[in-house]
Amino acid sequence: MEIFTQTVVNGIVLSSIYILVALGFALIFSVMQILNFAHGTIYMAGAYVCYYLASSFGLPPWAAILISAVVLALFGVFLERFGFRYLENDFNRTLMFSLVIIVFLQTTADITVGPYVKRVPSVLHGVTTVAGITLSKERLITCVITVCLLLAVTFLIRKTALGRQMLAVAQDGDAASLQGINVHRVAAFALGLSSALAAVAGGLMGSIIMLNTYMGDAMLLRAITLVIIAGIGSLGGLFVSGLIVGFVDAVLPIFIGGSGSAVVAFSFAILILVIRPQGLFGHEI
Amino acid sequence: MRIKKLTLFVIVFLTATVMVLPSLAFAQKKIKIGILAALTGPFASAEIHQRDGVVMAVDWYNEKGGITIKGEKYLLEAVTEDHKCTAEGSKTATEKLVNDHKVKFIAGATITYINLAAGAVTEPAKVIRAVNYVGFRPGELTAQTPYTFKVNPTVPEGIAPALDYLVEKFPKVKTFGTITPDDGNQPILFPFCEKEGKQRGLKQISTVPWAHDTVDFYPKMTQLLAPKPDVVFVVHAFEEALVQMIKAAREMGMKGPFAVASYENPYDIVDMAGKDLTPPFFSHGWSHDVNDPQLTPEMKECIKTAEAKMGKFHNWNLWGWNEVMVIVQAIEKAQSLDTTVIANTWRKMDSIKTIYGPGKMGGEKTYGIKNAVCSRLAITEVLPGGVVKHVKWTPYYLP
Repeated sequence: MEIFTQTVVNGIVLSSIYILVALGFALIFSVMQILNFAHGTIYMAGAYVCYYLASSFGLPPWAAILISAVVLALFGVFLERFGFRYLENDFNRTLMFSLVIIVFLQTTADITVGPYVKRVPSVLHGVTTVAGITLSKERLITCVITVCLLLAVTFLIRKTALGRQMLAVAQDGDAASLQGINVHRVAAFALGLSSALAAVAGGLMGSIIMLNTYMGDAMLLRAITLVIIAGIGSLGGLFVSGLIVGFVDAVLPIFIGGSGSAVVAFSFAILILVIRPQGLFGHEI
Repeated sequence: MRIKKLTLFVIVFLTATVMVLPSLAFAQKKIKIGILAALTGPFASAEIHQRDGVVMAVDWYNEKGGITIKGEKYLLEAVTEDHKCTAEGSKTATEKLVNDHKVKFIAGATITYINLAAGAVTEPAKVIRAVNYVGFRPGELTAQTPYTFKVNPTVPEGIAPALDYLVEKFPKVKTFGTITPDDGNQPILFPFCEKEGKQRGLKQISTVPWAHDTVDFYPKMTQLLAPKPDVVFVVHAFEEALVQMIKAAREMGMKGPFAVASYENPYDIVDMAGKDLTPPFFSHGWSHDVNDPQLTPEMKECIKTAEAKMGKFHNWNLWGWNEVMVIVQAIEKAQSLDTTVIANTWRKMDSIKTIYGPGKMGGEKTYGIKNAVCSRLAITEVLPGGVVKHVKWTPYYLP
């Protein structure tokens, strides 16, 4: 019973982690139809900025995460203004540009912080007991933050004027422009928000799973898997796909070793691409 | 006009010759030491420090005047290539070292599949290689790899001494759960741990392999701790993974000791996992205290040099420094740069000095070839309050 309970808890926590990381990626894919392969590295950069603020200036982890989100949001706006805007949604050019960002950010992190094992200070220390189950406080707060952010982003998209503009741009950029929507401003906001979400995820994960310049690579793969399964334009679907992949990663390692759980998750994603390319909850492109 | 051009050419040629000749006359002979290390990828956080150790040792020997072979002085020169933590990367990097840089000696690497890929290049080229973590995989270190030498204490050797100390320090423990990377060695290592544990009255009740790209260790520790072992026995893990294991286990309520059969930096573990969560913990990692009389002069030299040149010492600097130390001794003993002569001489050395203390060659029965440098292992414990203490040295010899 205990292993079952712990496994369920592990599944919920892992799902939250994956949803948090994938949220920004899904947003930019839905709004701009851009597969931003640099999203994992932006997540890593957010973690490193957070670490730098906390260790060099002694800022509390909360403040470091917030400032890191602002810094990376501005970076995202910069990327849209001077990069993605000119790529005209061409996949090959977008991929190359993403690779440039990846190399730049990873090298910068390597040079500035170096190859030493580092960790972002925890936002909350210790453990707590909920309904007889022992939980790490930092993991619990990560779950709470994930749910809050998912709800906030969904509210933004569905209930605000800016969100409706983003949906319009996602549907047809030219038509949206003809309606008077500043497409570039909407895209910049989307990329800025996406980067900020990645930074928050990085700051929280940097205390749970340690810092290294390649911490974003595995997370990017999980984010892509979640978005494929959920489908374009479905943030609610992201919640379901996050649960699927999170529980696969929590349960399968108990029965099979190695990277077996990753194989299962990716196989499921490939199956979805084959039989239902728009994802479980997405719309046709 | 033509004569003037010819005169000008002769003047320029003679001037250039006069300028170059002296430097040619005094050109220092060099021996290149190739470094095969992860500069990028998940192992970079350890192997970059190993690389630094090699570079520091090379500089140290050069500051002392280099090494002498048949009356001639040779300086050392370090050349690094990045294996990128993949077998393909290892093969490419090794080919660059051997074919482009023309090295005859390579320091590194550590991971089994990296070593296997590199060995496919170095053995036919008769390049001497000083490797580390040898996990008994076929072809890794055998009679068919006469130019490959295991030079640092590695994981399989660390298992028995770790279990010996475990029963000595914690006599009440009866069961352990073993966790090790899923790198192809676990089918050999798990039964090995079980056998060694049984010999000491311990029962292995759970075994868990973990993939190098594991994001979260909670599922793995859930599986390991399900039958409630008294001890978590970590065969091998880089610091990041070990910290996550400790945090997960302690947050799940496991209070028993962490016994680590490898060489992770206990200071980093305490720093990352916390001084309250880490103990009880011990490993074969090393103390950094230069005032500790149990450390060798060479270890203290490495620590001081690292702090002076790099700003900080890291455990894996010792591995790199030791790689150079033993290669140099083998060359000086052979008094030759012929790698076949050096390899044959090295195997036959009665004793060899390591950074950890006196050593000797072994491995004839274990690997089928006497290419293992054996010395002694440290037992370093993390005490309550997060204090790191070198407890003792324990000798090991591979038959």
